[in-house]
Amino acid sequence: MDERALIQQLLAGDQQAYRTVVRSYHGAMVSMARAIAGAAVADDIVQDAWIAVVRALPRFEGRSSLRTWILQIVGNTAKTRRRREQRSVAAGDAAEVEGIALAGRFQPDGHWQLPPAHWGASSPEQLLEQDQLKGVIDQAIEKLPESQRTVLTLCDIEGVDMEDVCKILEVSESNGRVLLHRARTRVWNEIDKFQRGETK
Amino acid sequence: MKFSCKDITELTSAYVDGKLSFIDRIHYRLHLFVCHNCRVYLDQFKAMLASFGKSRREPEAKQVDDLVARMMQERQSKDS
Ligand SMILES: [Zn+2]
Repeated sequence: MDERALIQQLLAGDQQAYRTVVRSYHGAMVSMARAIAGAAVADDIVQDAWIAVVRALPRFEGRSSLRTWILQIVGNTAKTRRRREQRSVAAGDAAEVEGIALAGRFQPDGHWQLPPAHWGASSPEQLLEQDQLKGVIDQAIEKLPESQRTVLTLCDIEGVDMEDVCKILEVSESNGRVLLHRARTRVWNEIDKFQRGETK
Repeated sequence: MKFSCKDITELTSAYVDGKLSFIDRIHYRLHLFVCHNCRVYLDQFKAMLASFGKSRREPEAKQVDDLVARMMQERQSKDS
């Protein structure tokens, strides 16, 4: 839908329009809030952020997309909450940027030692069809270090721009890209292990 | 060959996200041209990314209803 039309409907109080934006952006907002202030308070923060969105909407100037604007609001709400609870910042720390997900899979000269397995399920649809495999992927994502999981969830699952994610989480874009690549590589490795029959 | 298989796996996000320089892109493709394993890797990597894009979950209907009700309430309290 045309975003300007959507915003007009929101301003007019159209419930269907509100439903649309909640369905579209809620998941990304929860991930963002969780990354900044912790899982325990994420739902709370997102509720507050939605109320803040309603209040601020008449002043929305359309300089960014609606999603970017809403994510900035949730980011600010979460940061205020974090300051109040004095939670330390976890996003983007060095330990999570380093570390090789594919350790042991290459020979010293950089050739594959243990090449990619043949994946029985190899199309995106097949990857999602098999419940067991889907479970392996979900679990691999959940097990990622926090900042890697956040960037992967926001960029690859929710489809948020890397630039927005990095700005709100206050990490450099180059670090954000490294985190995303580490996260993807780890998940690929878990899928590969499963297809090889190494996991249950 | 400029890139090893290990290099290829490290550059694959940059490749699929369009962040490699023109020259590195050529070297990346050159490696794929001669290396079956890395072609397999790239295909699997892309399939995985596409599956991520399809696995977005929306909030449950009840939760959407509750949130929207609360937002409508906020609107009304503001108007009056
Ligand atoms: Zn190779």
